[in-house]
Amino acid sequence: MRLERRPALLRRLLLALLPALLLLAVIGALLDDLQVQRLAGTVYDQALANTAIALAARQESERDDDLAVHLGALAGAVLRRNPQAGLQYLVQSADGRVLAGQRRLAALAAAPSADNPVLADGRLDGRPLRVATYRYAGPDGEALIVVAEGLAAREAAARQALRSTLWTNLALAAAVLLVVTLGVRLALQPLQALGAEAGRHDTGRLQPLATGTVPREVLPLVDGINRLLGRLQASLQAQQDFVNASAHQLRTPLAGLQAQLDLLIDEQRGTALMPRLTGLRSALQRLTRVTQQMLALARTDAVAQAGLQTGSSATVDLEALLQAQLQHHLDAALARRVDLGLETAPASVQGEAWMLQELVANLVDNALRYAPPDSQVTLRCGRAPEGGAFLAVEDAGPGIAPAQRQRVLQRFVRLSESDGPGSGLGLAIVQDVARAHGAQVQIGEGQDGRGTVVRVLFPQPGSSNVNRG
Amino acid sequence: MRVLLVEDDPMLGEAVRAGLARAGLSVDAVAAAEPADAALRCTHYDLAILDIGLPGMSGLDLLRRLRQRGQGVPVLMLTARDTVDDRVRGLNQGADDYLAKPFPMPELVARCQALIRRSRAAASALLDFGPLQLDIGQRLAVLDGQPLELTPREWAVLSQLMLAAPNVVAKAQLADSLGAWDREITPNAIEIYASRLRTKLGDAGVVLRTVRGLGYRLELAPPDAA
Repeated sequence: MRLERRPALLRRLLLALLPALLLLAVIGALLDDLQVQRLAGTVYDQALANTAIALAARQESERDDDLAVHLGALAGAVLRRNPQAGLQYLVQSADGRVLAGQRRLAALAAAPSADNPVLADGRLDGRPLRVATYRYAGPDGEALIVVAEGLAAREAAARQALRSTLWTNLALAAAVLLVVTLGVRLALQPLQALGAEAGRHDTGRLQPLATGTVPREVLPLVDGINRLLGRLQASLQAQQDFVNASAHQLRTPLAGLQAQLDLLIDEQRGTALMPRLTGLRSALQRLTRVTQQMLALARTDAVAQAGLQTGSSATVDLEALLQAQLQHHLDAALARRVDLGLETAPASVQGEAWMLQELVANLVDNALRYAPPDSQVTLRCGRAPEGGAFLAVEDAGPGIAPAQRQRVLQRFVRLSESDGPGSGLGLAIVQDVARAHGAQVQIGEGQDGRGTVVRVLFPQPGSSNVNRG
Repeated sequence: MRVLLVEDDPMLGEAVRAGLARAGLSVDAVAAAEPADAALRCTHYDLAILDIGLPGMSGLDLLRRLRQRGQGVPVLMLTARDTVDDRVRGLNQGADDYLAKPFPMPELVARCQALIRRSRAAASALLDFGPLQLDIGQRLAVLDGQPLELTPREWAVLSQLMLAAPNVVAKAQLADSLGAWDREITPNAIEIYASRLRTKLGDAGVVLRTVRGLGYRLELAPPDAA
């Protein structure tokens, strides 16, 4: 059984996992982003505060009038280290004199507080800024130091972090999918082995599946299948037993009837009772024939359902089979003035001998039924050009129209009431037996376009030739 | 000719007994294997007809006992089952022929006569087939009371057909059996012998029938047809 268009466990699992994994990857990245932004903010704030303190320290150590020059150099160094920062600064003495930097930053200075330096958001010329305000109180006076920088650097750092966590998370998700795929494959291996074993089973025997390596989760399923197989086996056996018992119960009284009637006809030859007696005999022959056919069909059914038992099927010599069947039907053929003959070449098939006997018996019986007096009925076998063995029965009867040829292989189908007494089971048996042997039934006309040839073409040996009905 | 019939179905048993009696055989009929076993111990029979499905001891069991005692009486088995197992088991255990129920009475009679003919030929070298008799020991053939001149090959073909009747003998089988003392026999040569035999048998009531593609069969012409 192929798995196309079937809900595969693996696919279901992957389809369920994929959106969840993607969602988790994105959520993870966003959470990481918040974290990184907070962290980066702290680090950058610290650096800004350090810059402000460094400026104050500078002022303390220099204490000269060149302060503006020195501070300018210091700010330049900080700027070089961090070019995107857009650093601006102001150093103002306690009396409001600008010692260095830009005066307009004074507006951004935070109110004095316990924290020193104080960090706060500010805005200058419409652009957001981060501002550090440091109030310096040294031995020689006080000063206000304000340092401000843009947000571009922090934002760039956060974006970088977001990108890298996103890629990492996606890679993780892909790895999870791969691992799940491999894991599911590995976990399903015992199931696939079980499936393969069950597949081998449908060539025949109804033996239970082996439970040795079946995983615990699947064991109830396999046990259920085995119970079902057991019940099927038992019911097929019961059916066969019933057919065998019926055969015995039906045939002995039929034999008694026929023997008594044969005697009676012998005794009454030439009397007025004869027409009734021969009428009785032909009715009895019909009854006998249909009984035989129904029993054959029931037995064939049972065997076909169970599949041909590979143990009991043997090599059947078709030539010998046809010779035996010819002998069996010879008297019936002579009684109808039909020349029953053979054209055989060596051929053999693997199969069930009694089923093939029934097949040939029904073909010969049909042929004799439809063959006109003084015509020939010929049984053939040999190697077919197609490769396998074949057997065929040809008669010179009315033939079967091409449109009807498939229909006559069905049970109880008779082409017309004028065909004479028949059950419509003969060709159905032929079809059932052929199918159980993997053979094809071909219906055609005779060599000169008249009559009927029924040909049974067996598969080549070695090809898987046994199939289920 | 004395025949023992073992059949538990009264209707069939009675009809078979009457049918065989009409063919000139004297029939003792019993309905179970145990009395049959006793009868076979103390009476000589030319043929035993055993139904396989008997109550109590089966026909196959009776056959096995018979053969274990070394009794070589010809045995025809009757079976109501359609599996070939029965036939194979029966033939393996020493049955000489078998017939599946239901059967036409003339076929049963013909097979009984054939079995008796074969066992007599083995015991007394005499072969009987309707108006035709062969004395194998003295190599004398008689048809309708008149001596019949036969060449050795014609003799061989005819005696084989008489032993086998009512079965068909394959042409190849006839050629093989003649080949033992003449290597050049071909199936075509058999056709020539058959044609000469047919001429010699004339219309005395013994028919040598050709079965197309298989071989020959010796038949008795139906009394009203000839």
